[in-house]
Amino acid sequence: MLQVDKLNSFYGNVQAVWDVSFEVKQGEILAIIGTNGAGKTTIMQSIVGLVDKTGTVSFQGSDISSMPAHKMAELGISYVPEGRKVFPEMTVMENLVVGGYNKRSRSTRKDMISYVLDTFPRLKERLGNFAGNLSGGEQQMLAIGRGLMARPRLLLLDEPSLGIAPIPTEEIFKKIVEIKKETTIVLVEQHLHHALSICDRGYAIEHGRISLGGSGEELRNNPHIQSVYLGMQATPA
Amino acid sequence: MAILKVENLVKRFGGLAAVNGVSFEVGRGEILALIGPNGAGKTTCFNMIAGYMPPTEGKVIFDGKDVTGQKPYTLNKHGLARTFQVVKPLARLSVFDNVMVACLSKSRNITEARGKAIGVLERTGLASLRDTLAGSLSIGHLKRLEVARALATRPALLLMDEPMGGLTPPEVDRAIELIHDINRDGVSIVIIEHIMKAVMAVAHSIVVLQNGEPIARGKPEAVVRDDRVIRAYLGEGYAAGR
Amino acid sequence: MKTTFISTTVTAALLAIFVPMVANLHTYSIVITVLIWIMFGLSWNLLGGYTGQVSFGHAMFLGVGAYASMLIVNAVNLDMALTLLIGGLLAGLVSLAVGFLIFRLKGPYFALGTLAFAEIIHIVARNMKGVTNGGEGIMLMNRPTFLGIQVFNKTEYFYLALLLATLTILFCACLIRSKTGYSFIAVREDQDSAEAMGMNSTVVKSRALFVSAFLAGVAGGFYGLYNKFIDPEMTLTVHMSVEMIFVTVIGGIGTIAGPVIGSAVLISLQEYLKSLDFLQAFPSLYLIVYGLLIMLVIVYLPGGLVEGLRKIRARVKKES
Repeated sequence: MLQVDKLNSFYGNVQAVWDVSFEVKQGEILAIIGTNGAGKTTIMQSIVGLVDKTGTVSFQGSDISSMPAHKMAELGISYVPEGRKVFPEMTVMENLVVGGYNKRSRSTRKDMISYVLDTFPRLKERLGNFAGNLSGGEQQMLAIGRGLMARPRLLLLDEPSLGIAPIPTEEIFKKIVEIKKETTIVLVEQHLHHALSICDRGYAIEHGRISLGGSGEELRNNPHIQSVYLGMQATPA
Repeated sequence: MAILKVENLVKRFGGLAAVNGVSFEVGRGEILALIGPNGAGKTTCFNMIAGYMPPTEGKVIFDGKDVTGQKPYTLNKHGLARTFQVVKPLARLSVFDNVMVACLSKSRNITEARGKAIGVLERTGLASLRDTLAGSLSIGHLKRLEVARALATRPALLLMDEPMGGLTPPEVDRAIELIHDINRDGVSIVIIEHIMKAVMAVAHSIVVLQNGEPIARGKPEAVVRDDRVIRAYLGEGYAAGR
Repeated sequence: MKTTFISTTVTAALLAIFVPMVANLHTYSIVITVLIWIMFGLSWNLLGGYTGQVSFGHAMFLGVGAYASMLIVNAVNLDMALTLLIGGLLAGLVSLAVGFLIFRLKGPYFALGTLAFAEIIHIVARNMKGVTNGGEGIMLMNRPTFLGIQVFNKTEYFYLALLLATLTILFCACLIRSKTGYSFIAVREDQDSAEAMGMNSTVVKSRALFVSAFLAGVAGGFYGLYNKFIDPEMTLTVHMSVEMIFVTVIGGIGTIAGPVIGSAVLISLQEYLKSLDFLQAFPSLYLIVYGLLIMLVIVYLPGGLVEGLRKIRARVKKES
């Protein structure tokens, strides 16, 4: 579904990602793991055109390397940035409606809103509030909901559980597995145990390069991953 | 005498009571964790304690003095520092300059501040990023920068709002070590956090908020077994000892 | 800091030596105007560029300094060094009143507040005929001295302008690297953060405003004494306020070099356009050019000419 080839990303003159190539297969959950600052967000933002890059990105066969960010939603790629980034002066409802702005999703907007509110009941209580007045975690839920409103074919989730309490976190991961049926998902996640348990495949990023890749199970059992990312001590022989 | 005493804090926004009668005490050298579901009023409590917004009702007593409604910069001078949940870096300045600004508030001159800044950066593991623009840091580093800046103002009480966001498990361990390190220096800490592993590792006591009210308080082992807390916040999965 | 110090003093020394050798009355006038606008730009930049408080009424401080200086020299012919100082301090005092009333306003409302205040002072100057002689203006009646040396012809004004501009540049460069300078920038970047780190943001902004007004007042005083005549139209109008902004933004907001480069480029451009025969029928054409330049800068080069020069230098380095 998505093919990334020799991606090099730059912030001005500073290179953050080197020669990253990978693919995302339709209907799978792909996890991108790495320590903080490794380049996971940079890779996601490069894909949707928010960061300068060289290399090619193709989506369902077409080259989208030079497509501007604002066309991505229409195409079916939805990016939920980490750090919420909701529209603070719009209400929760308005944020969700805006999320469903593109043509494909407009017709099913009502259903999608119900779906999002079922997933995040807390938002139902806050429909008329300005998004800026929500708590941090509530804003994160709203950001994810807004991303879902676009009915994406490919959903890029950047730290969706950041700042979210344990119970809604479980919900989010359950929902991610549910929406996998309709939407391919790329997931950057701090709760690595969760991410690795629900993903089909994953890549580990170190210092802006891919260091490891494999199926979810392979990664979970990989000793390097276990010590560096999961913080598990190697069992003494 | 407790370093922080919060008495019956109430905050109303229009008709909505975001915080509805929260009281707790933090002893000197103690680490208190404030946990609860999203929207429970935890950050609002911090905002009232740190002078960012005045309480509708209630008192904040810091180091024996009533400081209710005083401004953040006054409180900082008295020894209270905070980090923000939604990080607020000085984006166009380097990491070093971000910490310098914080150091300067307590130092007399630039040279003295420089020395302190280098020390703080090493302690928080940011030394290698000193010349990077704060605006281009990843969320985990930004959270660490928040802590560094708060530390640089040499607080007696540190309010940390979700400092573990974006950290992988080993990084969480290092952050826990840092918190212990800060605490060993005598700094009292109140921490808001969702990463229960960290909460259990650092907290001497826990207060649980839901809908603006405390629903449980006490030693960590007792609180996490409390039924109300499990239902409201931890979920059965946690209780089942995942 | 060392590089700024060296480059500024060396350039000043070179100018001091070479300009009198080659200049005629016209070139002197251009150079002095550039130097005056460097000072105006740096003053505005301190508040607008470094502290993030955008003022659209800075002409009021310039005007207070100009009127104060003219009146003092006419009345008692006090030495310019003292006169300019007094003019600057008076402007600073006015700024305290302005700040007290206006700092509670945020963003665009602050800008409008400064604009309104400046207009009020403009109208007062036009009407307080007893003091300011209203629209007729004030002519310089005495020959002023600076530290005892008489300042009368273009060459002498040139040396003084060069001295004042150099001192202003060095002062600003020093201030920015000091504890106060850091506080300015912190408040600009994130006021809440700055307060959480112990800075009273209102006090910081008032300090920036005071120093900025002081510098504008000193430069304004010089401006009046150099022109040997002032009236409300050439000191207190929006046109002057806006030109301060142009010079800084096009040159490079938030940098020391910005107002210097911006002033040199824009004033020279203005003079050049004025001198072209076929444009004589359109003496205000330079305003259109300014407008276009501002638009280009905002869209393509927000850091101004300073950013443009940095990019060129970076590209040259890459290729070598």
